Amino acid sequence: MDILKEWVKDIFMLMIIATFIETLLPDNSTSKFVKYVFSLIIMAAMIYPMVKLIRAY
Amino acid sequence: MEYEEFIEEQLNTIDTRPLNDLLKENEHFSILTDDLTVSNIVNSMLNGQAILDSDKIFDELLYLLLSEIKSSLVLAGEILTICIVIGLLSNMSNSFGSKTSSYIGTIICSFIVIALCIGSFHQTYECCTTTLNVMTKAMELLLPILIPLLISMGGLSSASIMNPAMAAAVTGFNFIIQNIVMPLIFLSTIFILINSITEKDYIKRLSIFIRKAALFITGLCITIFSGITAVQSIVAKSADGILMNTARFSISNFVPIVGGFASDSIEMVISCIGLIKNAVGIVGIIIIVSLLILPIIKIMAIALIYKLTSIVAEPVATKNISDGLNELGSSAVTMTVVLACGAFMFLIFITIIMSMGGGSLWTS
Repeated sequence: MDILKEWVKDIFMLMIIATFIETLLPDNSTSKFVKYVFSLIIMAAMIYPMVKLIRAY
Repeated sequence: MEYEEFIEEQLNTIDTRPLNDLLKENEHFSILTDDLTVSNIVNSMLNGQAILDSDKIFDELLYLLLSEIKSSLVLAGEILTICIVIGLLSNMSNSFGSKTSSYIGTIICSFIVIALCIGSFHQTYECCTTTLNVMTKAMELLLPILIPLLISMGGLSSASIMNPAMAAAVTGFNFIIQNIVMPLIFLSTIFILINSITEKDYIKRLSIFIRKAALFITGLCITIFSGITAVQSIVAKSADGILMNTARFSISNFVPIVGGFASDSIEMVISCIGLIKNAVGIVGIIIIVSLLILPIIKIMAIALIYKLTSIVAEPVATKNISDGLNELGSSAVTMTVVLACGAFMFLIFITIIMSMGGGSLWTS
């Protein structure tokens, strides 16, 4: 349950941070790149507990 | 009337006080009947009267539903107001100069909507878990009353198999629902709500998957637990049938003169205890159903409010917010389904015990 709680909390915080930073970015080619990086980070956060489970067993 | 006296005598020997207390201490039982005790139900079964007053129940239920919807309307009003502000912010963004400021305003408004929704959803969650606990408690009170009645009907092997199986199933089901299924549903709701902040869908599929998984786990648990119990009950029933029929035939054939009379009176004793057992079972069914009704009405009212808010907010608010509200309503409905499945399993258990031995004979 603790792993799950941490997971939810991580994804929640990441989503909020990503949303705010995306909003504050100026409209140019860099912003698209930053958005892409954020979606990669959120994907990594989603995969993280599965990797942990695979390592544990 | 000999059998009435006998039933009266037997009723006095069994301890139905915990059930009567449980009936009294939960105020929702006033919906169903005013004075519902085991002995009352046995008496009305003997005289062939109706146990419940259906017109009154229907009126009460309608009143409850409407009052729940009315009390949830405040939440709908709050959410709608914020949605209107969101619509204003996103449509008037040109007059604010920069687009960013209006966008940040929209995000903050979405946060407020999410906070409101999580607050009310948490209440629903608490309501579900308490109901589940009370239902489990009712089953745990019911089993020690039903099982001795089963033993006194001659169902020795049935009782010795059913008691641990059912106790384990009830407790295990409660544990699984409270520690796995309910948190999963809550988690998927949180994901849905976070997803409604951003324009792009990041975790929508994940949250829907989690909710489906929770429902799947519930279905699996019910199938396994009730399947095991039902199969065991069939086996135990035939074993007891052989035992009881042998006893009755040997008394009537091997004991001279009074044997036939004795075996007939054994039959009567068993039927009378069967009547009491079925009455206790009916009380159990009424308890489980009436425990279930109030939370289901409450959650259904809240789910309806979520869905209606999402319908009304769709023209003004952003797509994400109305989608999120819609999914929130689906989550609330899922919770009701889980609760109803639990109650359904408990009802199956009570019915299995009631069907054992039947009214007259142990037939396999």
